[in-house]
Amino acid sequence: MKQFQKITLILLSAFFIASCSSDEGNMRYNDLTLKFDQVVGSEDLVLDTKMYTNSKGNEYKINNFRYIVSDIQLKGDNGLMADLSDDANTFIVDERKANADGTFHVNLSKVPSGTYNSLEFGVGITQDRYLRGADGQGDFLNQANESSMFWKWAAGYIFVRMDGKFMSKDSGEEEPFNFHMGSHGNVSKTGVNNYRTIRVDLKQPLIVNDNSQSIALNCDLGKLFDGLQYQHDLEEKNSVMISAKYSPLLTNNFSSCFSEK
Amino acid sequence: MNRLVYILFSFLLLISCGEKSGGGEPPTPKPPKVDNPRLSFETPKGFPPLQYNLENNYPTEKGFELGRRLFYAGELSRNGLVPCGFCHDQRFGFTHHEHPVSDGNDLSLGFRNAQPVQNMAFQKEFMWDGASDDLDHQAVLPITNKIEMNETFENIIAKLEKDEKYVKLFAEAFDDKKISNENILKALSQFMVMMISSNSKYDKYKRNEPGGSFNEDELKGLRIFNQKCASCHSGELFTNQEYVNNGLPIKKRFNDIGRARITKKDEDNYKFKVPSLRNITETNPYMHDGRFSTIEECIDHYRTGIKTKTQNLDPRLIQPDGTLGINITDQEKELLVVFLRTLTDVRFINDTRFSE
Repeated sequence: MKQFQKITLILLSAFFIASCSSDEGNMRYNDLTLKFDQVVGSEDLVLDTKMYTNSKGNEYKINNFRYIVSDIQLKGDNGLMADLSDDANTFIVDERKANADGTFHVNLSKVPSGTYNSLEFGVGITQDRYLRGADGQGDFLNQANESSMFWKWAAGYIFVRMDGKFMSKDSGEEEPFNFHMGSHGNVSKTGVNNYRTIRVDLKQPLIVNDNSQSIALNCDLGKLFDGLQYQHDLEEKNSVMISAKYSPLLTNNFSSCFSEK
Repeated sequence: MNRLVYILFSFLLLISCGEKSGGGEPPTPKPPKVDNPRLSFETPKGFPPLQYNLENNYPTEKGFELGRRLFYAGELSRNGLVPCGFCHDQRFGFTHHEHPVSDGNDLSLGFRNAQPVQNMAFQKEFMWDGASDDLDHQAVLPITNKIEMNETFENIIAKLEKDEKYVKLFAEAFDDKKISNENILKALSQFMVMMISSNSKYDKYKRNEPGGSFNEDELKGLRIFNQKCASCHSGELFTNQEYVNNGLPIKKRFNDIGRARITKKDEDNYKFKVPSLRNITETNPYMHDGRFSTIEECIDHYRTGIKTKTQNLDPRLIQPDGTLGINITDQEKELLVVFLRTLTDVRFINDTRFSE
């Protein structure tokens, strides 16, 4: 029975793929820019100098802030979908490389014409892609290496990285903090998967048709510290890397950071 | 007398046996001998004497390759994710980039900055406090440390034995073919012994090689370095390998007494091993607790950062008039940085023999 289902599925998929590609000749592609603006609450993110305060009373500043955006998809209300989940559409949003207006642009070029109601993207790299190993990563592995968004193959990519300093009340001194949430190797062995899918419902339907469009997004880092379920205290833990306890907590918080401007 | 005859006799027999098997008779079937040549090891000119006993564990092709794999193997850590190379990253001179103190799991934070893995064969002692004086034993510390890799050798051996790839590699690399504590550590040592960094611009300058011509600023920087820094950062490794209190304000958070942790002597309180300065541009952050992010901050520490005479402050940091620190002008600081940049060994940082 299972076998039969599998074959049906394969045949069906083959049919769909065939029908898609036959349409491709007529498909119109357009540019779409995702503008990620990193903020802390109502304030813009300023690296290195500006101090912020979280709900636990930690006063902190941020020196690095980066995250991986992958598997981008746009959805319309009648099943219309722009699937940009290929390897080429994987990006490292890096506040250090932001434009003068403080936003980081992710430029997409193969967005089919249509009306879209929601945007989905992954933060991180899927388990499937990790399991392809070094040879299956294409140029992205180099990019990640250059941006210090990769550990070693035992663990894999760093999905979200925030480095900074905070005034420690415990020590009375400025102390560093480092949040590096990422792949914990083979999920079937470690049980930790920090890949998250973010869904942003657009306020207005986005009409993409022979024109360049953009979606402006906020990424509120304040929520990385202060999620609904979990609030992080830097005095308790100022370095989170391979941590089966803290890494998923902060990763969950991070997935609530995004909204449309 | 009888015994001597017996020995001579046996010796003759052995020779004749040898001849016999060489003469066309089919020998008893043996497993095919794996070709495992020794690697060539050379002490770079001007380096301090070799400390590692090579003859005990001479690096071979297979042993080195096994060591490389183990250096990057998650199996050496309890959670499977933190190999040696996690904190000793080649891209950053085998250190943990932008990460002040290292931690491998969620128990708690480490309190020391990961040191570079380079020129290990020439070091008398390892770690900031000299906790190990033998390269073969050094790796035991991070592997078994609860806040680092947190694993036992018993577990590691069990994990490696399940992997055919490792069973084969150990058999090829070592005569006893065993996956044992000793062979794991020996393979890691073979890998680390070969990690020699001696091809910076400075080295080429010293050896009068192409690419080694110093400009005026680099020459000035070298002169200032020799006057003001080289009494501790001496020789071709840029360390006298001694333990020194360099006047860093003591962090209450860690209250790290350094060398005294090992020796239990008050006179060693707050002393840390003078680090090599090779590849220093690549290995931020700096100092035993990674408190500084730039070379400039480090130099500023010696200029103006030593505020109090902490216990065992090194006398070289007390000027005749009692002022603390080293007198370095703004211009001298810039020139020192120019010189320190010549210590970066791009070939070493990119050497694929040492890569994952």
